[in-house]
Amino acid sequence: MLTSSIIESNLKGSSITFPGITIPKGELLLLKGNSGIGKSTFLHSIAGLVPLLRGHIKIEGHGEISKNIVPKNWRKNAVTIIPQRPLFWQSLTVKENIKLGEWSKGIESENSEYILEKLGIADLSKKAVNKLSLGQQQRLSVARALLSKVPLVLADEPTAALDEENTSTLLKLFKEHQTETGCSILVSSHDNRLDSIADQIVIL
Amino acid sequence: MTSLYFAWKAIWKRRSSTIFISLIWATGLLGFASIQRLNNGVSNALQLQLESTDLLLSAKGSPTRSILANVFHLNEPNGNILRSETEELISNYNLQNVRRIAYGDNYKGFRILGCDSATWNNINLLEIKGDLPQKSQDVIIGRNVAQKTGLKIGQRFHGAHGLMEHDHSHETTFYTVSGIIYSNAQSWNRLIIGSISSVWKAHGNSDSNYTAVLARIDNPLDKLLIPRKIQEESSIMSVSPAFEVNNVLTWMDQSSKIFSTISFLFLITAALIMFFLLQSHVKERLGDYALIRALGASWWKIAKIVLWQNIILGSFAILITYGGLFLIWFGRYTSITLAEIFQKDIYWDLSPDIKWISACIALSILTSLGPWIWLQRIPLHRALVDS
Repeated sequence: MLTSSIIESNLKGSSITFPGITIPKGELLLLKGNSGIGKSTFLHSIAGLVPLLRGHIKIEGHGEISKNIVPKNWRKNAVTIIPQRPLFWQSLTVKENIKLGEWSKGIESENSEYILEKLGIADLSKKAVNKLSLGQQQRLSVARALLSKVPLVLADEPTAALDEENTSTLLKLFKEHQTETGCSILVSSHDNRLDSIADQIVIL
Repeated sequence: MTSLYFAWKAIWKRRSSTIFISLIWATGLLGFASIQRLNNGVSNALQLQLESTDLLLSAKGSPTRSILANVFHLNEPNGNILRSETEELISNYNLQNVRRIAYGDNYKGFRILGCDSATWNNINLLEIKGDLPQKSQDVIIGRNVAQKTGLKIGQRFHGAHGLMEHDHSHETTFYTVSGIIYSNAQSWNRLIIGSISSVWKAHGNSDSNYTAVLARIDNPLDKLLIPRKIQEESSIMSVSPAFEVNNVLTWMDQSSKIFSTISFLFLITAALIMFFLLQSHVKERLGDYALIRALGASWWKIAKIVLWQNIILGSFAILITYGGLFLIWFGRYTSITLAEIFQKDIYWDLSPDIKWISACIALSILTSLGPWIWLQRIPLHRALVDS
């Protein structure tokens, strides 16, 4: 379960205040709001990538972030992030990027093939990532995040580059992952298609 | 997959800058390693020739020229010394391993050296094909002489007067090759060596004098006193080759220090260039490192990748350096002198290399620290948003 009090994120020179939220175990919270309002900054604050000026963020069993003190192994064991723009090591293939994600978290996943298959990119595993379309990269980014069984998944505009069919696959996969791992998911998105699977919707 | 694998992938993506950095680094290392080999080779060559030679008696003139001519067999001697006077001097002092030599002729530019039986023991033979001289006009020839002139065992030839290739020949007196030698004291490999009487015979016994006498002195005090006494008391020049050669070595040491300093500056420049190239490389890959940090990698994991990249670059530099040393090794055949200096045992003795290889690895680690500390300060949020 994620509990976040009202927090003020420090962006070096400016700060943004965000409301307090709670996401119970196994639920999905959808974060909506206009562009530039700070949805990505909020997700990055929860991931421990942006220091806080005040407030705290707590994940049950993994400690809490307070000011600029992030518990050790926070991103390794407590959260995983799907960045807004899919980011990879361009010198690596699809499979190698998956392995890089596992190596970063210190895990060795057994169901990578399954997830890649589900997302329709299993046959691209030997392809260099810079040869993939934006939609394929988006799906790969999701696959990399879902390989770890952390209690909180942060997804920043995960459907931005996806068509109807792939969005539907992704939503099913999110639900499946939640059922299997009991994780909580925090999604920031403009996409109204996500409203149907959200347990809570917070508008910034 | 390991940090080494990901480091290698990152390096491979930037092949041209990898080669560029390694080449700069290797240039400094090659300068270092080759000067070291040159120094060791020259010192070794000089020491081998000087073994058991504490005293050199020869005609008056330049001491350096006399040493070069009679110890290293490189220059023309000052002249001859009277046999009777020399023998008297030798008997007056406590000298060991006395060797008498006489120059006279050459064959195709290679010197024919007449020597007494004591000299044979000083040749530092590594290998002999055939026999040492048995008859009066028998000679053994050095390996370089055999290679350059094509002389074979049993073949007869006649020498030309003097030490120059085109001087007039003694067509009535023949020498016979009884053996081919290979010595680790290289000057013997470019000599034709016979008995002292054979040289006198070639000159019709009209010139039965010595060119020089070499000897060992065991008593340290005598090493200083005897050369000085002989110099004062006789018409024969007496020098201590070890003393003179030490002066040469000191001079060489100074010049090699200058070269070493230049190489060291090369190394420092290479390290600085490498440092800045690595920093720009890290800057370029800021998004990459921020990504794995955001995915949960510790600083230590990132440090390992940066460290491995530098170690790979350092290893390339070491490999290129040894490639360069191999080229120099094969290139040494173009010059007899270089071949003499770059002896296999000395050249490929890798123990002195441990120092610069260790320095190279230390430099790899040191240059990793900068980017690593710098990476700790990157705002991950900004890096992820901007990538």
